[in-house]
Amino acid sequence: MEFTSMRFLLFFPVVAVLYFAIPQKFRWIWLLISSYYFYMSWSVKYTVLIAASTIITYLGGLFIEKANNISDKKRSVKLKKLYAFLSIAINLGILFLFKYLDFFFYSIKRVFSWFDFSINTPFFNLILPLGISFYTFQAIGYIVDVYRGDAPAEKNLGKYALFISFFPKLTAGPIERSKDLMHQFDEVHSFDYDRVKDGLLLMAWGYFQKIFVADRLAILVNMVFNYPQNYKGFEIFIASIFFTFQIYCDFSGYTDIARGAAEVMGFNLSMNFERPYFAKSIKEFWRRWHITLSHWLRDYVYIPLGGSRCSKVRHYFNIMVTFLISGLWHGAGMNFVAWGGLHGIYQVTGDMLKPVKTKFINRFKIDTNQFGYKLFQVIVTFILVDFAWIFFRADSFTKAVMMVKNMFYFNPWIFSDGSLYEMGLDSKDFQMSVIGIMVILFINFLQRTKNLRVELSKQNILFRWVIYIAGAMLLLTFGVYGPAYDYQQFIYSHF
Amino acid sequence: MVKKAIFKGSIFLFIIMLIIVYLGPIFTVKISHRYKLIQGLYEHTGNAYDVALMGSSHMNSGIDPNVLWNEYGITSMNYATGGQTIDVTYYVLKEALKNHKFSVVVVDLYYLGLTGKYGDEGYIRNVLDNMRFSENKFEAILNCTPSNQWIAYFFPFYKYHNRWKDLKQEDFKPDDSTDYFTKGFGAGHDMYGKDSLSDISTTETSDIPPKTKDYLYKFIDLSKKEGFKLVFMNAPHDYTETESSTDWVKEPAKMFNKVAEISKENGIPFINYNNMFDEIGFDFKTDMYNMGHMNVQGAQKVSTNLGKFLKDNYKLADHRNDPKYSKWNEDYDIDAQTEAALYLTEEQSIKKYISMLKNKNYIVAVSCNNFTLFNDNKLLKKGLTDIGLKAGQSDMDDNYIAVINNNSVVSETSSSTGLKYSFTLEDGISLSDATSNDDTSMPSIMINGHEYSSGSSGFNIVVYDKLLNRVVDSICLDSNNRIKR
Repeated sequence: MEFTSMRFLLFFPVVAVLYFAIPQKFRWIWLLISSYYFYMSWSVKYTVLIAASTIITYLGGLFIEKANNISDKKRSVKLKKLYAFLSIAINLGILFLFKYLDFFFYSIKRVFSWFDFSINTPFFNLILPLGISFYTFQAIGYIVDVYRGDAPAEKNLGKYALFISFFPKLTAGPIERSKDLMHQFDEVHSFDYDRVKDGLLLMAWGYFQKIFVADRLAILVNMVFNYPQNYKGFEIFIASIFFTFQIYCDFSGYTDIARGAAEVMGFNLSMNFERPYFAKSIKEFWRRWHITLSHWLRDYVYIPLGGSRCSKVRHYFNIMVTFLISGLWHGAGMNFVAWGGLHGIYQVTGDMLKPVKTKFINRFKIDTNQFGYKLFQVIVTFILVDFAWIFFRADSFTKAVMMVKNMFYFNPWIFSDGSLYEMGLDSKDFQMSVIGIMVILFINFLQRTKNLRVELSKQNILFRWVIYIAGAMLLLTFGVYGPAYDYQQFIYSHF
Repeated sequence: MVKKAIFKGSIFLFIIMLIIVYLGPIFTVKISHRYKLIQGLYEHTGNAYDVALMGSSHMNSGIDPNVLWNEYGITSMNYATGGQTIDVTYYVLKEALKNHKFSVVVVDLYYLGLTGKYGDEGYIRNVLDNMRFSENKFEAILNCTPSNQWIAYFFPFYKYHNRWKDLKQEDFKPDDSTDYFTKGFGAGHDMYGKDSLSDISTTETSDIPPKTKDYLYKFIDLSKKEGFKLVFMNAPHDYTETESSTDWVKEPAKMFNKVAEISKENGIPFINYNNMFDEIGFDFKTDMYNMGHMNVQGAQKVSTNLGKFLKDNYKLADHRNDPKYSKWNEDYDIDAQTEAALYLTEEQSIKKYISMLKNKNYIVAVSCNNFTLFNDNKLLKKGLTDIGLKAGQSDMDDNYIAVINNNSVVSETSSSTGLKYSFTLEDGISLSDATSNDDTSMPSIMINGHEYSSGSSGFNIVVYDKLLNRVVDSICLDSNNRIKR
């Protein structure tokens, strides 16, 4: 059940209304039933996987806590490690089986082929279970938190299952921590008009990002990235910029719908985006993009590896490993590894060149507080991120390389001879795409200093209602949805 | 707080729904069948028709109300649309009955053969998108379309919102009177050229698919309830057309034998034109447009036969001389002129073309800047003689101009130098005819300020139809007798 489907638009109000209608003690049960129904509407049989992951980590948590109480410290640590290892290994094993097995065998075959050995490897072509990377990471995070003593083990299997499967964040995050979310299931959430309204507004903004912007951009992006051999120069350049905004609006749109839906019911889910394309460095970009994944990787990979409190070489190694894992997490393919690798290289290179940059700034007495300098930083960061997205979106590493090569071709005539509008979007939809991007950037710009929902609530009722109705009609008229469209799944629900 | 939310939420949703419902008809694609449905269902009410003609494209191109009018004085409306399934036809009839009291309803049963549960969405939309919201439309959506499409039928805006970039003036202000003179009939001129491969010799019967059979009986029940006479018909078509279809009965001939039995049991006439080719002089090769649909010529034959049947078997008044029905005569004339214009625009032989110019409603303007090339063209000259032009008999100089109005020559001049004449004809129609053999922008034929000539060297003819108030054709004949448009 996609957030953009008619089914969800019926499902969510029913869940929310009944949530408030039933007594508090049954509410979590209702949410659990709703969440499993939500998941089963995609696949009944794969529900077994999420249930298995839940039970394993639930038991893992209990066993770790139990081992923690053993007076023999040595044995206690040994057992805790064993339980944590088993829980994590089984979860990663399931993830590996469904997500990476084919890639693994394919990679072995490729390696052998370099030495002129031809081997036959099996190909399983298993369907990737929806949201598996998200709930697996969340479950692993829980185990590590319990192991470290950062969070208590949850005793109630049902509530723990809800923590893993809570439907707003089930398919594409945010990746929540038990200490942030678990207690909310016990809180009393009464019906609050302003909060419900705010939640619905956030959902509406999410829908705008998804069906007005992302799904329109997707038409051109799909055309160019699916048939890259047909395009060159500015065509690839435009497609890469469009994808840069498509993936942002798609994922940020999903997150806002998720956070808004949760907010309607009184839950507070973590922020996942904070105007990422306004970042002035790659490091800052990762503090603004997919924040919950960045935190997860920081806390469970980067810091355990040693973080930055070690030698330069080791530090760079830690960065590279973290980003390569991030790449692999997004998809089983060399292009994802390359994307992660590129971001790692950006950061390592940035760090290595820091003295040169400082020298340059001092030499030419550049005022780094000036708007021009900041804008330059934002643009350079955007270009680097945009370039890396080509690898992320391309069907394969080879195609990505081909596109990068073909991008260096000067064909400005496409802006005047009409071929700009032969990439899937006609002139009107192309213009609407650009307007969509402008609106996103403008709203993001305003969000730097203002909470727009608060600002809107300060306005008089007539103004607010005109905005609500005009916004709804703009979305319904210009949104890319309905039976005439082959609707686009949320990109991140594939990961 | 909950009450406030319910109150405000309801108002918000109500406003949005209101806007969506209002925008629905604007965004809906204005297909050609739209107009006949609106005209026949909602505009021309008050016993406007004695006979309703219902069905799919076979009926649409099969029975011409103008023939029924011209030959028998019967008023009728053809409600058929392409791909209209029998269940949809039932609801169209029910909707029509809200505003009309028909003496006779003729239903074509081609779609009785559909074994699938639903017809093609596009075809069903042709009908349902153009029906006003009513109990009939509601029932039609529930019974004739799959549930996953209901929202898009109830709220066409959901389906068509992406037309924001294609909206034109006609979407906001559609001219619902468009082509009313056809009374819903539409057929092509091409000839199929092949015989029917249908095996009609069988006397066996086979079952009618359950859903369509239900609707067959629903028609019978409705006729009893509403008090109209029901006639079933099966328009000429090649039964083998659907033999490879997976959602169609395998042996239509046997199914129609079953229909004959049911009709007989219920005292309803069933006219199966596929068994009557000899009787009505129907030639499948020349009277069909393709293997499923009649052309205009075939429709004329079948309509004449049906009209006779209706006249002989039901008390239908002949309204032809009734002044209240004078508009029907005007519509008939416009329809005839429209057909004539279509034939004219399709004609490639100059001999036939010139003979078609003998029409009292035509103003024919000729302009040529190289007539000396045509002086030896016997074919052309014979034609020009037939329509009364001197150029048919004698040689002319290069620059030649002629104007014919109401089958009479208004002007005919030839000169070795350029010519330019202006005329004001009846109803204020202005005509400017000019030619020059040393000006590349010539010849020129302007009517009411617009240039219609091709501007090419050659024998240019522009035909203006006074009844239709428009130029119906503009050609340029080259020295090899090739007509260019």
